[in-house]
Amino acid sequence: MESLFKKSIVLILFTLIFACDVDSNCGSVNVDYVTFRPVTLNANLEEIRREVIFDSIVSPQTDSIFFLQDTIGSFTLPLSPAENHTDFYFYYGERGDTIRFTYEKRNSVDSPECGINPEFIGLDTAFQTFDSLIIVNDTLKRTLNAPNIKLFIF
Amino acid sequence: MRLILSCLFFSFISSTLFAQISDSSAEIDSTEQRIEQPTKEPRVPKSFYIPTGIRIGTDVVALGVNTFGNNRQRYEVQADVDFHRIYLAGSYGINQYQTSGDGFNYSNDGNYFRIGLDADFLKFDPDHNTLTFGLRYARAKFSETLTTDMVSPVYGPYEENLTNDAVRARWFEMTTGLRVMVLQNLYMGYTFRIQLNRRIFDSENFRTYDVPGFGRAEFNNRWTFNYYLVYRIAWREKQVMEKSR
Repeated sequence: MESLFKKSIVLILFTLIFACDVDSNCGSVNVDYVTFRPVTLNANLEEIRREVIFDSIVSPQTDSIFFLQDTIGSFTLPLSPAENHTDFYFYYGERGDTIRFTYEKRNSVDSPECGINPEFIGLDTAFQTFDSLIIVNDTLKRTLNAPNIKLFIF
Repeated sequence: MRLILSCLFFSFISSTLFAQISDSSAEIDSTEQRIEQPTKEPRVPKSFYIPTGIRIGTDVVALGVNTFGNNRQRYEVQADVDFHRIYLAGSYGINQYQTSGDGFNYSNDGNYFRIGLDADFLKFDPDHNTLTFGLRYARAKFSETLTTDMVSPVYGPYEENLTNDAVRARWFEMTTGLRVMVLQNLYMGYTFRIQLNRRIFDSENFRTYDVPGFGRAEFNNRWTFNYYLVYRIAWREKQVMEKSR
């Protein structure tokens, strides 16, 4: 009986030690921006990367201007966390294109210290006016090596 | 990693205790063999399997957390009924939890129960102290609310009020527990639980943060610990097997 008590005390101490272990950290893989890669096709109809000079990229849901006369090979645009859709207007040269993204947002609580961790899933387009567009990844994660969107501009 | 360590630790404790128990019975058998041949395990009379009482108790860890903590209010009632060395055990608890952080408030309110069987390995204890290993099936039902008041650096401030109304969760438990009589019919002791294979259902509007009776929902497997104060209400005298000498 005495040895059982000793083992019980050891068990309790081990339990307390392990219970103090904290696994959580604030590093989230979720991001709130869409990654674009402008591409075009060469003479063999192979995809090649393309640099574009956008005069500006804006969204009617914010006063911010995302790009202003930049030459860019790939770029990111943030989605609105307050709504389930975000519109973007792209102005370049004499052209202008529009995309409306739709998506779902799933909130989770990381911890009181780390706060809310929103996850954007099911990225889709309600409409868009580019020559062509492919959604490569419909979830927004830092760990993805590929872009979310391939924009075909001819 | 924590689960692996927990399982190893659980296995270690189990094996040492089992080893001790089997060793002692081996000694008894060898003694018996010297006295009479051939050795036969004494049959347990059927009357031993008739329940002799119910032990009802509460989790004093929960009461301590309620008293000294700010975030959780939990009350748990636990009971078991003996069928010789097998105990039908169950517990029921109510739980309220709230926490807040930078730009959010989270709260949940619900209940949970566990039910399962324990096997007692103290064969000859006249005080009915128990050292048990058991399995449990557990379910929780709760509602939870998340309110956020956030500021997006691009899109400005926004608020959200999200509710998961009828969330259900279930999991399994491997347990080990000790109950020791401290006064007549009053027992104290711990239950150590490895909680496994947690599943959450109907958490539609945001991801569940805390599950009543289980804890942080980010873990599928975890372990926890309860300390119980238990009173035994006996309706007949419990008989125990006598050591052969």
